[in-house]
Amino acid sequence: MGRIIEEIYVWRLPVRFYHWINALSIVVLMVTGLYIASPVLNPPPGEAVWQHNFVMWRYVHYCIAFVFIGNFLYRLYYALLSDDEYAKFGGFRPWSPAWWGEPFKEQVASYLFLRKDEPNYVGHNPVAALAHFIFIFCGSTFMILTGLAMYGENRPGSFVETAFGWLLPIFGSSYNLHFAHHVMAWIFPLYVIVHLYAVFRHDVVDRTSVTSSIITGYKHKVEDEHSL
Amino acid sequence: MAKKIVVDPIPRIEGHLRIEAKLNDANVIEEAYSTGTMWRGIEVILKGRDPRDAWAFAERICGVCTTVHALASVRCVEDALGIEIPPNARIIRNLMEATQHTQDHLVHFYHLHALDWVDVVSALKADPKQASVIAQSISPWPKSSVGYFKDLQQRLVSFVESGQLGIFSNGYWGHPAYKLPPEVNLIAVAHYLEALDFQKEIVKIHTIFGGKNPHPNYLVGGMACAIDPNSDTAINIERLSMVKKIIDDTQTFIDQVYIPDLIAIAGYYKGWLYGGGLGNFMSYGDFPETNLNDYKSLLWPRGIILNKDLTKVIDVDPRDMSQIKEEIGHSWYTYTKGAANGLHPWEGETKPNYTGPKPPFEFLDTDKQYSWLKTPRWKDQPVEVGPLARVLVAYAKGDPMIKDTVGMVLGKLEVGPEALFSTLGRTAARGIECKQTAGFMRHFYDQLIANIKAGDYKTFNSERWEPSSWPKECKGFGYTEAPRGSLGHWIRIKEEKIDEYQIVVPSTWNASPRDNRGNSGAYEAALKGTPMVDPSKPLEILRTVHSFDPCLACASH
Amino acid sequence: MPTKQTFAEVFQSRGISRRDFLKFCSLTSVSLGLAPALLPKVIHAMETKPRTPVIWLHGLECTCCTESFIRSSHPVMADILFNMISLDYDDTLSAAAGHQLEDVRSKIMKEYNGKYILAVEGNIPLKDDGVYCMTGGNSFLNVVKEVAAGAAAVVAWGACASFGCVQNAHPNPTGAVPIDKVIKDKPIVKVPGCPPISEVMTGVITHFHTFGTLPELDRMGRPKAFYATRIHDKCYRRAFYDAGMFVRGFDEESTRKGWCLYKMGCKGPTTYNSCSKIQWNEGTSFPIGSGHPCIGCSEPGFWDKGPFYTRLADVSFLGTDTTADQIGMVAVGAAAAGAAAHAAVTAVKKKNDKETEK
Ligand code: HEM
Ligand code: HEM
Ligand code: NFV
Ligand code: SF4
Ligand code: SF4
Ligand code: F3S
Ligand SMILES: [Mg+2]
Repeated sequence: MGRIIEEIYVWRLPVRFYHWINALSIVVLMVTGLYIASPVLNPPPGEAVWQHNFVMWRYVHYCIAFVFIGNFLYRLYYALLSDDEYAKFGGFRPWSPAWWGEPFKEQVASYLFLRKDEPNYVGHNPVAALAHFIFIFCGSTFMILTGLAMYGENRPGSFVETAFGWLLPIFGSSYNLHFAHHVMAWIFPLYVIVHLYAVFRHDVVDRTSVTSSIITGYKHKVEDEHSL
Repeated sequence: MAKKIVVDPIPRIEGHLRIEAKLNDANVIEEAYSTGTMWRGIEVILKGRDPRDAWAFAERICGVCTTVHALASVRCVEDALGIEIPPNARIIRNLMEATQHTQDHLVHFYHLHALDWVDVVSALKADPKQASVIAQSISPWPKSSVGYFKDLQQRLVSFVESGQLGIFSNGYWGHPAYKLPPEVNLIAVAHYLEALDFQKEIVKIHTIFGGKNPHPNYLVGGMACAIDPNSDTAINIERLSMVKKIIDDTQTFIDQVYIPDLIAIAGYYKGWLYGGGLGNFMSYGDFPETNLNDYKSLLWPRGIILNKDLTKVIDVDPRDMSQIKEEIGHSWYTYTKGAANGLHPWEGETKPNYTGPKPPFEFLDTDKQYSWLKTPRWKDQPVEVGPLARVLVAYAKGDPMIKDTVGMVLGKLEVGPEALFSTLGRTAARGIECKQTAGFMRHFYDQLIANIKAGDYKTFNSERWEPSSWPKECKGFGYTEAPRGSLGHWIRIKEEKIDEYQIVVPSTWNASPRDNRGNSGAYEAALKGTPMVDPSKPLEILRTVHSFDPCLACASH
Repeated sequence: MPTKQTFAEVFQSRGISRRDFLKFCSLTSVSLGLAPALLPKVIHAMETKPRTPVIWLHGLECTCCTESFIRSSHPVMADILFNMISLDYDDTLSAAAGHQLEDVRSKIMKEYNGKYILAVEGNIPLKDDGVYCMTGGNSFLNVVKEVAAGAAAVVAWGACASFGCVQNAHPNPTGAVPIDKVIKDKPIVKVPGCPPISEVMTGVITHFHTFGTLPELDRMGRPKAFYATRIHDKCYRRAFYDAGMFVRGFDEESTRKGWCLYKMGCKGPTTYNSCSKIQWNEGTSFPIGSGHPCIGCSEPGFWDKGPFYTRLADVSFLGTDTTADQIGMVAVGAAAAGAAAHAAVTAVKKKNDKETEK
């Protein structure tokens, strides 16, 4: 285990800002999404046309969905075009065999208790980067595409429908879109649990203080760290 | 030298039927072979599904007798799970079933069967005045003026002159077996078109209670349509009035068009009494007035008649594992325990095994397996099911209404009851039954009204809706008298899913291939002995086969 | 041979006045939802076109599409048969049988090569050389290919021919496929539904005859005129859906009040069809209108989306039937348990490490 040497500024404001918007919108989307699938609350009193109980759940889902999309695109932009090295997932090259080499193996070995000491990273560790890619990048893309295709169904001929309606024949039917969107939604709570555990664990095990880093932006530089 | 002829495709039926027949030198049919040439595997597809969904799958067995498989299906599931349905649900189902009978029979008589007796082209030569006189002499039906028939004839002339004969292309027009005078042909063509227009009205009763026709919706435990005379979205007085009007119109149409036409046409064919066939008849009975298992309450009685003996009606119990069995000796299936023995549907199985020639082929090997239909038998005996069977069982049991109608029809034709054992008898029985079921429609409508008036709106029993309330294992039997005859669904449920589902259909009884003892089913037996005027134009075969109202999608499912 | 009559001539010879004829044309255009400006085109078409020959083939099916077809109220069947199309070959209605009927088919295929319409009802079984559906001693597969070769266009009637219906549900014992898996080189109009609404079916025919073109199709190959939006978008119970007023069981107070059937498994929100607009049997009702949830009968693969009375299908997962939510919750639970176990091992290991370090 390393010794704390200095504090470094890893997560700049845009990343932290993105992170919390993202976290928040996922929670809201999950809750409203599940409610849309299974509205459990009691019916409101009074005349139907004055009530918008269920519509509001959908409305919130859609509003937050667009926040989520915007935030996602913004993070993508920031990763590709900013000069923030820590935000670029620079080392993430899953297509290159080298990436799957030592550092990745070491990190996996460490998680599997096959290795005595814990490697640690100032930016994303390779396993975290892979997890982010699969769950956050691919998962979000999937939810956004299927979500937009379904959203377009509400208004045939609209821009969204024209731009994303092609997903319908690919999925086979509107029902399949709903089903896929619903099933894939579950990867988010799955990810969050693993993510939170990993974050807290690193904090305790290698004392890089990662938990607060996503609030303050600072991580601790520790001895014998790998670069990026 | 005997020659073999093939009739395939056979239109004006449902599904794919093929008849191969051996004729002797005098062109009399010596042997006939009935083949169902399609199979979909609905019984296989039903396995592993939620029993509450089964009705929808089963209903898609047939769109012509739509409703009946859904009804048999919900009944067998309810029987298995021990669900008692509310009286309103029973009444509505009975009403829908009676509706199905009348509509199906009407369409059969005019659109699927009439052209075997009616020469459309001969109608061009008719004298409209004479037609009008005949029409008015047999019925008070208002559409029978000279102008009406004249106009129709003109339409027909220009249709024929257009050179595009559509569905009438290449028919057997001018065939010597046609016996009607041109005027009667013209009347029949007029009613062909009127019936085409009217049949779509009858089924609106299905739409009111089941949301659509074909394929109205059913529900395990009752019916989904709520009743509330004070609601604008449930069954209320407007809906009920529509039902009543349809029943009125249906009875009028049957009394003033169908029955008079039937008698008029049959009068010219009294000399053609072929096609009697087996002489064994079976009816499960239907239209329960109380519980389905209380078969003494069935409006259509249950029973079996053997060897045309109307003095004795034998009991039939489809739950008895020793009575009804399906054999596969001449069918393209295998049984795990071997093809030698028949299986009762509760221990039945469906495993396809095609052994016929690779298409295209000229003839099937009728000594071996030659059909997608299994061969159901009652105590090893072939029986005929359908309107004739029902009418005979009710007649033999002394049902006063049936006795009346049968007496009226036979009296007008000046023939005795023995004439019923024929192709024409089958066709007449269907008309007699149609009149009877239209009466049932009114009966059930009155019952429904009485119930609602007494404040009973209940249509559904929710006690066993949740699968958690079901036994771990159970089996059930559901039946109905479908338009074409006795229909049974047998189900086994295991751990909330369908474990085995077996369906034995009216047309399976009638159109089945030979059994393991070499005995023919109803179609094959009825064709035997029929003389053909011109074997290249198989009008006589069509007549007899059509008189059963074949449904091959039902039969093989 | 007599010359083929046009629509207008048929009308005339039937003693129908020009005024009535024009009225019929305008009614037809209204029922098709056409702009009034198109009316002259309708009239022109009906005045000049002979009736289009139609060959209607039946595969693995239940004939319910035909039954639905003959329920049409506008236009009525007699008008269709006499004035719109020449239904020269049809298993359900044709007078001729056997080789006489097959002769009609050959004649139409030859005389009207490239001009007739092939209407298909049902699936095509591909397994075992197509022995699960044979007609005239040949496989349905062969017959369809043969007739399609000279067709101007193909109409796929019903869920069967469009997407594959009940016989193509799991495990599809006959290898049944919809028509577009076999016919690839012809325009195909899909008219899904189990069965489709009658006026939708006759509307497609009338459109083709009237305009001489196929109706405009959506991405799934369905006429936009009837399948552009979902049942749910036009459902009269939509206000209850929006309000969150849901039926929770059959035959309850809320059912009698006509609340939304969403929680009873209604597939209206994912089903493209005209049921909630045109309705069934001359506007008498439709499934939801009579208290039963929509089962999505015009959608691809709807049979395998059961049970019908739940919103989300059961999926076969490791040999059990589960819902997506159950799988999700199990996965999340497993992740939580995994994390806890991992934490425990970490703690133990750390303790051991500390001890060895000492
Ligand atoms: C819905 C919940 C959450 C999601 C989807 C989520 C997602 C993410 C993502 C995508 C990153 C990568 C940041 C980037 O490079 O853009 C990240 C990093 C991080 N998150 Fe979260 N997060 C969630 C909740 C939390 C919470 C509640 C905490 C802390 C209490 C947290 C702490 C962190 C930390 C410390 C990092 C940096 C990790 C590292 O060094 O690899 N996250 N998170
Ligand atoms: C983390 C991201 C998301 C989660 C967890 C999520 C979750 C869900 C869930 C569980 C449903 C219910 C599906 C069903 O059973 O019918 C749903 C529906 C829906 N979601 Fe999302 N969703 C997410 C993102 C999005 C996005 C980005 C959009 C884009 C517009 C979107 C649009 C929709 C739409 C249109 C529906 C259908 C609602 C309806 O049936 O009326 N979702 N979502
Ligand atoms: N056979 C038969 Fe059916 C009837 N009636 C059903 O059970 O026709 Ni399609
Ligand atoms: S689509 Fe449905 S209704 Fe039409 S033939 Fe197929 S099973 Fe029957
Ligand atoms: S009943 Fe079905 S289609 Fe109608 S609003 Fe409710 S969910 Fe939508
Ligand atoms: S079940 Fe079918 S009939 Fe219409 S309402 Fe649904 S699409
Ligand atoms: Mg069977």
